[in-house]
Amino acid sequence: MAHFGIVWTFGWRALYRQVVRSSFATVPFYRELWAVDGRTEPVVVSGRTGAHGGAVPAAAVSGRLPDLVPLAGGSAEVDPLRGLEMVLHQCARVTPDTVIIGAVPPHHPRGLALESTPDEPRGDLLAVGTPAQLAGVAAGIPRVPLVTPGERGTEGLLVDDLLGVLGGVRDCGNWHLDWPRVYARETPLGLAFTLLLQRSPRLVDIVPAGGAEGRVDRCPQHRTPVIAA
Amino acid sequence: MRADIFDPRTDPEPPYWRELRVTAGLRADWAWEVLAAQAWGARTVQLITVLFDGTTPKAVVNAAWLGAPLHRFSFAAAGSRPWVGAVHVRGPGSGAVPGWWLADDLPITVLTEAYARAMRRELGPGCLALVLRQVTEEQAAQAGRLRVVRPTERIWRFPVHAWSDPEAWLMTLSRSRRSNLRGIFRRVRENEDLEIRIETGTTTLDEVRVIEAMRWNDDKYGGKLIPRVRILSGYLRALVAQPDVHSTSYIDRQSGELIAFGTALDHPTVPIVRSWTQRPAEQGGAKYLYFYHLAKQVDWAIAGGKQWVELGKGKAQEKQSLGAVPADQAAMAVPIRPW
Repeated sequence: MAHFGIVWTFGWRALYRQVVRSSFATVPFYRELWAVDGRTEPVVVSGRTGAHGGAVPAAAVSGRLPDLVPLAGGSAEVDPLRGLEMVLHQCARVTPDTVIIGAVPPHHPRGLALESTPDEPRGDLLAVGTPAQLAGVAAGIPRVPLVTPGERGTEGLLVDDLLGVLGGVRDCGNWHLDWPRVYARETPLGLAFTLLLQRSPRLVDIVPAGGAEGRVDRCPQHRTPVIAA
Repeated sequence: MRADIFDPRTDPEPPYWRELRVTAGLRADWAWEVLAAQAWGARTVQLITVLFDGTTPKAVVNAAWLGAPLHRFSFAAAGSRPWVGAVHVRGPGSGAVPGWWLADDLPITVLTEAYARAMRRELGPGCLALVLRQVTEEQAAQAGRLRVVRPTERIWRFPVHAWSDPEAWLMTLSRSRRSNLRGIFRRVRENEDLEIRIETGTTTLDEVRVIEAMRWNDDKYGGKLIPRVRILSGYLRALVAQPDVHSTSYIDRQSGELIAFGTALDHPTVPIVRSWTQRPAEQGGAKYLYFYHLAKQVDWAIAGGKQWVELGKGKAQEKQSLGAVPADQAAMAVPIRPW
């Protein structure tokens, strides 16, 4: 959280550059990758620009999580629903009285498993899950599908098993990034995402499984980054 | 003497390097791509210096530029160097051998004079001292008046030239160790689940798995204050791909998991038994594999007609019981004149 001050003072992109520099200096995986192949925006070894601008497909990282831990140590566990709490509150109406069915953010007081969905919906309900999970939920319940960046439609939250929740559709109808915690960059492999505030395992310029097409734009209404088609 | 100073991270391999390696008998950890991978994965700037007499290379030195500020938890910065510190001369991969080679007619004072001056020119007036590791008493006596010599941990080596065949080696050991070793050989022979894979110059090794195994060792031997730096898989890939590196993997056939792994760097007369890492006992590791591995290295060295086998520091009791002999070592620090 200490980084928030930096975000407001120097900007989102500056924080990204700082995370790249720090990862190159302290994380074995990126040290090796960018030293030998190189990367762009920013270039860390002059003259070396890498194969895809330094972006890494998620599959290349999956077996190597211990190498994503900085030298100072840290966790090698990923949370597939990291960031759900923040993004869900931006993209859906959630109050402490809302009963969330399916993927319940940590610390939310009311939650239900998908199997125990009431047949007659009563009160303030919200179903959160993958489209396949939501297929079994009663029709009258409002829902937020969790979709991968490669299969995004017009509603829901962007989720990747490695990176967690990356963003979602807000009231303006745009795919908002979880700004300023998530950075997205256009690379030859598609959009590559960086978790700016997660120290370990360090995830920098990861292209989610299934790819992610699009470009990074700014929302005219909220003035924060969105993924445009 | 002219000096060529290289940072292997960014400088290309000099055209004379391969020939020089053969002349100097430098093992696989001096191959340029291995040096480059090692320098990228080091906490300090690594410098290779070649000293010339005319056009003939007369000396090669590998050194780390140990300067302030020291960073415990980061690799060496790519673009900047510390401005004050000392040059630490050591072997690039193994601490068991000196980090320099001198042509036959050169005394060690070349290092404390010509080399020290070259480093002073390269690194600036903040280059205050030269530290040489694995120095013998005679070499230390040759250096100038101003010097600090301190004994360091002894290294161990097998006197392979004294043994005509593996049986002769076994007969020099104590009775209990001998019967223990024979028991170990039998256990390994009868263990159907244990697969032993010896590869030379391999490009198919699953180095990610080996790196994972090496973390057990790092956590066991790393200091609290300054932990061991994580080895890069690129370094291991470059090292085991060298034609004179033998890597031995001990694999559990049932689970397909790596139990232990070791490398040996070949040399015409004095090969080195380099890294050894094995699974902790509670995860299915077996301590006897260390003895088995060393015994196999002795067999291999005797068959190849080697003189010695370097084993490095540590595990003194085990190594002594296997017939290794100690060699006293010292570290020597010499101040570098600022002018």
